[in-house]
Amino acid sequence: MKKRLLCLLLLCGLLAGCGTRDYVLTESNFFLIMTNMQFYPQQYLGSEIELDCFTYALEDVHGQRYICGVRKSSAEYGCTCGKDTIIGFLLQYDGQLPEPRNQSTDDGDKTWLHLRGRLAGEQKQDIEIHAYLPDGSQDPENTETISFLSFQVDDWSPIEDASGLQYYVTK
Amino acid sequence: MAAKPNTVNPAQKKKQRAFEGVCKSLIPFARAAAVIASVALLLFLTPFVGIYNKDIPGMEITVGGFSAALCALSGQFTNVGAAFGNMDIFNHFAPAHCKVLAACAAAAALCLLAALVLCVVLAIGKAPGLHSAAAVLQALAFAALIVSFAFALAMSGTRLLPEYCSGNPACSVRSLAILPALAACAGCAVNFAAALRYRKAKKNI
Repeated sequence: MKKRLLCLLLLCGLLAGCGTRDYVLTESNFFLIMTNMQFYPQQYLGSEIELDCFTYALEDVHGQRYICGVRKSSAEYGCTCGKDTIIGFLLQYDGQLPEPRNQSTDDGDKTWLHLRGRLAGEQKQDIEIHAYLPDGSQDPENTETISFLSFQVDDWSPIEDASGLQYYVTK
Repeated sequence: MAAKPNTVNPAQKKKQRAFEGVCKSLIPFARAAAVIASVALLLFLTPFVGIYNKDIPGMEITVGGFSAALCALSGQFTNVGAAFGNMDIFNHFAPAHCKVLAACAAAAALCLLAALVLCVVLAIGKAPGLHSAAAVLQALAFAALIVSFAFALAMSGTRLLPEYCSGNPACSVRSLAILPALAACAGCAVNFAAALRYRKAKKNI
């Protein structure tokens, strides 16, 4: 009888662990989980994900415009190598998302949103954009490619007071 | 016919006492080996692989010995949990190297643990013949840790630095797995010396 009960408990435990897990990205785990998602998106398929981020518009070399949900971080997933980039998702939403604000300034005064949704797939979308010159203007001669995962937004809400959120995320 | 009284050869008795004396003299060896094995295991807390950036203090990302062993034992190399260190990042850029490094770390940890248990048994004066077994275990741990160390450093030749560090010349891959390896080697030497003494004493009885 005891053996059967133990087996049943173990089975329940196993079954409980078999389902997809939901993720809430907080200030303490944002960078770690976001980086992990970029590396291993297949682990997060089917999971509900919540995060706070600011909107950022990207325009590719063909004029196609994309809205992304991002934060700022150092380049190449966290190496302190003197280059910064944005880390986040291409947003897909059946509706209108708030326009980005103060995109060219390097501070946290942006359009912050709380998003809830899931990864739209495990393949990244490559976006070819014009490179930027040191003075911040576009370099018409050179381009660079940014790869983003797509995030299907189920629900969003504006964040009025983003003072507690990190504009620049680190490990 | 009456049975002969049980007489012990005095020379044999002397040899037996000498042998017991040698066995007792091996106890400090066992204690030293146990301490060394403990130190070797403690050194698993050091980074077995890490990216060092000379422009900032400490390491950018690391995987400790215990984390590496856990990855191997659990088969999880993509987990972001704290217990697994930054293995997910290293695994993205150098998966084969990570598997070998982790497998060797796990093997070394198990060998050292077994050696420690044996040394503790030896240190309380039991089974003095086990010094050779403890020596073999620590030798295996040493070999596994050297392989771990080599595969950690070999990650320099993968896309880890060019991609994770954008080719920043300030970044390099480092490993402290050599430290527990040296401790395992020292422990092996102590147990080996004890095993030789025991074998010589046993031959004489």
